[in-house]
Amino acid sequence: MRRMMFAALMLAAAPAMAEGVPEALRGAWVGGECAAPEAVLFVTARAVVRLPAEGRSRLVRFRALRAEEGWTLGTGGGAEAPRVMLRAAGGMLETVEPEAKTRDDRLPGEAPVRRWRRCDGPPPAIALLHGEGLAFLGTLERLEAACQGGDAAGCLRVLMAEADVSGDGMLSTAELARLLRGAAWAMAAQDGAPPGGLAAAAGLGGVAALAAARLIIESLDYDGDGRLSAAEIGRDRTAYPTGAGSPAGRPAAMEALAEGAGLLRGLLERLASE
Amino acid sequence: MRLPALAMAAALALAASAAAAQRPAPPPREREASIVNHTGQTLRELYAAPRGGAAFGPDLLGADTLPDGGTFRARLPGGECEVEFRAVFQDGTEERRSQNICRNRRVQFGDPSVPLREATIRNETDLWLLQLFAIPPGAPGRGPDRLEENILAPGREFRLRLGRTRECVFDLTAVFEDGEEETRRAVNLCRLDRVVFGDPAAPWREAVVANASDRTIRELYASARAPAAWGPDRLRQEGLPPGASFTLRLRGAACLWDLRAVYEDDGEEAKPGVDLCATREVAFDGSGAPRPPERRVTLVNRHGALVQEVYLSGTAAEDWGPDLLGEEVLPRGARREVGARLRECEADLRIVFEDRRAAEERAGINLCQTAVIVLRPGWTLARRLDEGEAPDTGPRPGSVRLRNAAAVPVVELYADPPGAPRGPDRLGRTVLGAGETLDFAPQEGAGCLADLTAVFRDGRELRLAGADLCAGVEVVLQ
Repeated sequence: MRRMMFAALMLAAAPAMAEGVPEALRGAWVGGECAAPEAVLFVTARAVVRLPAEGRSRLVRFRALRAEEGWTLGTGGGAEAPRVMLRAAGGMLETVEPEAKTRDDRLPGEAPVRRWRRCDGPPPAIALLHGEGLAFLGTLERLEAACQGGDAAGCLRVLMAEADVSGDGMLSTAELARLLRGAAWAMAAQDGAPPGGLAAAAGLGGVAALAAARLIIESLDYDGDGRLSAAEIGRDRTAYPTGAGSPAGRPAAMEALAEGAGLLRGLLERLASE
Repeated sequence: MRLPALAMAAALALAASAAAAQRPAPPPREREASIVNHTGQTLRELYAAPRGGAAFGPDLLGADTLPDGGTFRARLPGGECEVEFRAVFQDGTEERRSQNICRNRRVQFGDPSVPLREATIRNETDLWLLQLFAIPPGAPGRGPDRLEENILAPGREFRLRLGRTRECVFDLTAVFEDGEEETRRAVNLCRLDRVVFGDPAAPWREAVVANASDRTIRELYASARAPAAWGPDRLRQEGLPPGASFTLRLRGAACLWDLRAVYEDDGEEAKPGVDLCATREVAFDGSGAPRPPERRVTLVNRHGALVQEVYLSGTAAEDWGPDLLGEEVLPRGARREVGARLRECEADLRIVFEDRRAAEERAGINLCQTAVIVLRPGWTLARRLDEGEAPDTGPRPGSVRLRNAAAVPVVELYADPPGAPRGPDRLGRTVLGAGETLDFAPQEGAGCLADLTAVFRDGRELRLAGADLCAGVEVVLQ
């Protein structure tokens, strides 16, 4: 559940960047053979995630991007502000992950250059392990772009578009759970989890995601049809309510309200409110 | 009268001597036997007992041994003629022999007409050979370890001595440090005097592995077959401290090797596919193995006694770890910040009083929510741990707290005596991240005043000339 909450914080973390990583560099890349990748690199407009077959994953979500002598240099958030350098090399992609100590004017430093290739499709095991998580990274960026501009209605529209897999204009438990499983995977990747940790996040996170999705639906499903409409999600969140209130009664402890909807509800509420 | 008396005395004397001649002589209290060793092996222990009698006595050789071709004069208590001997040889094998030592004092083990069976064993792998077994094909078990307590290092030889035997053909099994075994079946040692384990034609790969991190590398693995098989710890439990290096020697035709370092805090850093045909230096800087965060707490001693030792460990840890006070103590009324790298917020705290007279513990303290623990009577059960104390808000005495208020990390930090040239980077391999703080004190023996220079990652430099590093204040870097 803590991962889910952190996912909500991630949503508000990065400022939008106009251009993003060049289109040609985005998408999935493979280190080693296509049939048995040593690692998979997934590049979105504002993030890079490296997923080795063995060892810890690395997700860097860019707060800044700039061109640097033929490279695209992305800088992430956090104390160490990790950097990733990318450039096209023929049909390949080259990346460098500079050491934290390396000064900007000495890039790329001594860190090795990794080479990546395109492949037609992922092996089944890779797709099963990372598919939903990688899809969520793109979803996350689109949600950030829509929701950080202050347009609550636009934010909700994008949320519906991203989550509504069936296209019926409503969000079911499964559709919400898919979104939350992706968030759990992204959180594990952010923490540098190895493949086993990502699998655990997808598995255990999947159980939590299902429970959380049910909780969200129960808490917002005002018409009781078992699904959420945009109106239900947006109720009381897209416009100022009236200030009528009541002169009677006395203030209760606010802390008592904190445990109500649960952490995962915060994910959607932050999307709608920030 | 004298003659008859003398005659009687002589007669009595003769009678006595005749009686003595007819009585059997008493058996000797011990006998001797010459033990001759012709087995081709060193005789390590020798025991004797009357045949069909009681258990064997003590080792007749004591602390000595009897080499091949040697003779040992054994003194056997009891005086029995029929004696059973039990000999134990250097390879652990035993031989028993029964003999009448009154008829033949020479007791021989082994037949000198039987040839000695020996061979040179060479280890051409890059692993230590820990055990070596040699048995005739079809024999039960695998026999004794011919290396005994020895090991055969890479590139070294060992003379395998199987003693005197007419057997020529043996199955030889080598057990290496990674647990892998290699068996050479039906080796004819009458024709072959030299047996090599490993491929002598395989090239050596060598690289200097440097620990560029700030923690000890506890184990190091290198394999061309990872993750199926990582092989043995190449450091062989020696550990590699920060700043130290180690020459890794591997043998195999492969150029690409996977390297994996395991740090003292169980963090692991892997470097897959290192080309050791082209690379001669490999550095592990710990960046691939994130450290658990350091969780710090201030202890205030309001007990009536001095606290000599303090331990802080995760609730799931099996041991307490090192004493966080080290050589120092926490006197009555004193306060001190201690810290430990812990993955979880919850930790157990143990304090030990002076002369280890008593100790107190409290489990499950949430260090993410607890800044100060007041050690006082009843603190192990108290509801509030910091009762009566304000939280520690400033740097510890004799230091300054550096706060990086810039948007980028500080990558180099210099503190040099005023006017002196720039010395070593005091951050070492680490950085002071954006928003992070560091309590920074002068180096031992250095004065409080220093020229402080912070270099940010974007190349900017901030210079604070004549800064007082003992001022106990916060210094903002931006």
